[in-house]
Amino acid sequence: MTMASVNRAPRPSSLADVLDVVLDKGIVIDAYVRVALVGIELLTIDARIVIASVDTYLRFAEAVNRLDLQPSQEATGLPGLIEQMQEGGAKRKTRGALSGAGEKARDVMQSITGRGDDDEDEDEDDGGRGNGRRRERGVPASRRAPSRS
Amino acid sequence: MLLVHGLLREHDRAVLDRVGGAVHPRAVAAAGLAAAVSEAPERGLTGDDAVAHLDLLVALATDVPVLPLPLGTTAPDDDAVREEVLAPAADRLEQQLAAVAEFVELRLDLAFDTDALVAEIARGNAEIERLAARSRAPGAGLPERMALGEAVAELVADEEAVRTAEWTAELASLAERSAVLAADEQVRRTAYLVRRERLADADAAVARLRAAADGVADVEYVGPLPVYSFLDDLPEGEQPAPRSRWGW
Repeated sequence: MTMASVNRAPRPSSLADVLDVVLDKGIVIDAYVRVALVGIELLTIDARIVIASVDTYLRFAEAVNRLDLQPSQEATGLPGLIEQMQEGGAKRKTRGALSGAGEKARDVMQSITGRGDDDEDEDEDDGGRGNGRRRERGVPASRRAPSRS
Repeated sequence: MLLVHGLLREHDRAVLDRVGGAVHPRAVAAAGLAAAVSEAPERGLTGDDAVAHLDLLVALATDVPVLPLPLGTTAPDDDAVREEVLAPAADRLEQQLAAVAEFVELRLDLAFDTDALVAEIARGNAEIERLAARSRAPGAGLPERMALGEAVAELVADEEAVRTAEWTAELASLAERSAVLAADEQVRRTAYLVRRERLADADAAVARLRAAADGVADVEYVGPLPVYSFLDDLPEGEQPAPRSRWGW
């Protein structure tokens, strides 16, 4: 097996990313009469895009506060030692904070959309590595193929 | 009803007989060009159709130059493809096919482990410490937490940009073009226009990139794709002379 076959995928792994490649992308043919573009049925949660920044900011804020940072001039003596002792466990604690923030974001999502956030559930099932990243994405309305005219 | 997937040179049409996948394409030819078409499903298009469409175009682009059409491009019959897609723009399409002939597109996604980055960035940063203290002060609420989170997000984005530039420098240097397609908190996605004969060099560069990013960012490396991101920005000198006698 060559390095290339191990290294490179022929197409994106998620459907959202496949759609990002093929929707509204490619050669533009002018003056369609009988040739047309048809839409694709997609279940998207556009509200995810709207709240993405808020979600991120809150996750980061929670993560920093779980680090138990003290102003530099105070981080000496016993508090400094405690901080050092906690440092080794900071990553695990951060992930806990991010999980909590994710649940809060889900509450916000439910209040906006009236439905839950399935992707968050998937993240929780990925062995704990996914809490700090969000790979699955909704597809912005601007990326969708236009309806038949 | 036909789905029109992509365009190729008529003399490359035999490649359609060799590609596998869920789409069973055939060629509709006119003016030295061929359109790869298939029967459109009776139902509406789904995600599976999107995957099959891209798989077909990737299979074609691996062997021959191809111009992709947007997913969902439909025509009622072969005549409509010849008369509305191929014939009216034959010169331009032929030029574009010649221009893309030597190239493929590669895409690189970097998804950073923000857990690790936040901890690394926040510690020892006086401004973050100040904002963190303010967000924990009595009476502090959402605005203070948002201010802290926004400041951290900016630093995370800066750090990701620095590391991305460092890791992708080799790949960028061997590509003819690059285009940033996304740079948000979820993924940094860049497309690269690479000559076909440099594909192995690109693979080797990404292998080294993967090693550098191990434990810090997930890497998704995709291709060769049709040159979706560079159809309007192909390198100078690749455009052949127009077929028109007035085209000197």
